[in-house]
Amino acid sequence: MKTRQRDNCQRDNRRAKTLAGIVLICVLLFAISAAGMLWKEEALVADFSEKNLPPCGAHWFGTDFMGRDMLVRTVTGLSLSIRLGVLTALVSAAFAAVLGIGAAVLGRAADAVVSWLIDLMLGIPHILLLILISYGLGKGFFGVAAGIALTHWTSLARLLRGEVLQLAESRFVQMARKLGHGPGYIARIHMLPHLLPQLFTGLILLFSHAVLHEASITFLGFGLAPEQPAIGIILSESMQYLSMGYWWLGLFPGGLLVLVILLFFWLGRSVCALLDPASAHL
Amino acid sequence: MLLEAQELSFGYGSGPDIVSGVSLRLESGQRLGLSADSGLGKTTLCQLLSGHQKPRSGRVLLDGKPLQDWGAYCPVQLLWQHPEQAVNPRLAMKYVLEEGDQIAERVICGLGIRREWMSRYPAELSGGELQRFCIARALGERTRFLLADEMTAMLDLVTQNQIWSFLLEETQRRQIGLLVVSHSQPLLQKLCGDIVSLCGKPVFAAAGEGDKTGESTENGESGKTAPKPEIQK
Repeated sequence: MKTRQRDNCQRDNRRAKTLAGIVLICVLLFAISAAGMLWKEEALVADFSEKNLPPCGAHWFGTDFMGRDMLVRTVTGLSLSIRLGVLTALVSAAFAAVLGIGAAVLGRAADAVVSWLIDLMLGIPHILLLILISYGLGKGFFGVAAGIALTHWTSLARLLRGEVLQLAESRFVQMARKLGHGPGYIARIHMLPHLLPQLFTGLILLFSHAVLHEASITFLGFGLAPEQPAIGIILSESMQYLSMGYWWLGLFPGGLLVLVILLFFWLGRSVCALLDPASAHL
Repeated sequence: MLLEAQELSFGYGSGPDIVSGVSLRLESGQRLGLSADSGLGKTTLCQLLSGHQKPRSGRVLLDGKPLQDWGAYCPVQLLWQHPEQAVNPRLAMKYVLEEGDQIAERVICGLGIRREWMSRYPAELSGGELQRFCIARALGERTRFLLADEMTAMLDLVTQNQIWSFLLEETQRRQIGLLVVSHSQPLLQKLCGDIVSLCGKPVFAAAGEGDKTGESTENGESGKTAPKPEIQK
């Protein structure tokens, strides 16, 4: 009896810790995103008397070739990336959920159309389609966001479609039908607990994809405007200066980008740990 | 009440008939045993009787009315051989019970379900413990017939004994008709008044012989190879 109590105690403790971790990560991501929005103006201020300074007390991350403070630029860039990533990942995941689940439950014709669309999208190289959509919609934040949102839903949609098809055939769903439960109940009680973790994982993978793709098409010149302090632009600019020994231009923004993606990864893993029966009681 | 199967035939996809021309009668309070070799369609027959599959031909009637016309809650409930497939792995056990139709406290106690199992997930219970939940879930108030498809085949004798003695008492009390499917003749003889057996060759074993399957699927006389019921007293 004693050991069981201790187990329970430990379990509650670990759950509380995981929950605290989730809150902490959310606060951190929100803080970066808010700070970036407040520093929007400062990020553009150039001071040619202080150009190419290595990290020091006044400029923790150093300054670039126009004397702009790299800490401010990095945080602003990350803020833009986080907002863009969250927005596009949410839109993409919503697309995936609607189309994937729709394909599975709306019958053969809907399934054929959606599957064809998925095959079509997956058949075209990702980056080409992204550039095309972004360019066609006039580049900038809107172009990049639309491009990423419209191209990243396919694999998640296919995953969800398969999951729903499999669940609909499973014995426990058949049992629920025979026990008199309608499609609404089955969707809520039986499907959702299986689909949500998939959706969460998909969302988080989408986020890092979105940020990296935003950075890459901006790097290629089809994304955000060059004066906008986006991570992609900062990194592509730093490329030209790395060989001149200005290491801080690439190291700190790149490192922080990795950190933000890791934060999202931890967030996803903690949420899954709380929801998954295999670990919910550990 | 009377559960009646009339000339049921069924096969998967466009394959040969697994069940062919099977008729069966089960009355309230009656306990009928069903035995057959592996692959003769015992489970498929149970799925047809409980409406989990639609027959190719023939009807399942409950008091003369087709089974699907009895409303959303099916009065004929099936107990699967593998309980771990019949419960959602992501639902705690108390919600599994809530799926059923007002399960009496008597049923939960009678099956030996303990309070502390309620907050666990299916993976945290043994097969026997899970099967008890499945039985309890199927014993809702509107259940009139229970089909036990090799329900206790993987349980130890003590647990089998406990579960069956409760089930006999409960079905007697509520006049529930019970179809017991098992490979174990002693179990069937102990539990059931009548024993029906499906005989014939397994359809998929016969499929290897080529000429026979061709014959049976083309001229529709698949009854020759597919099992037929035969009553033995």
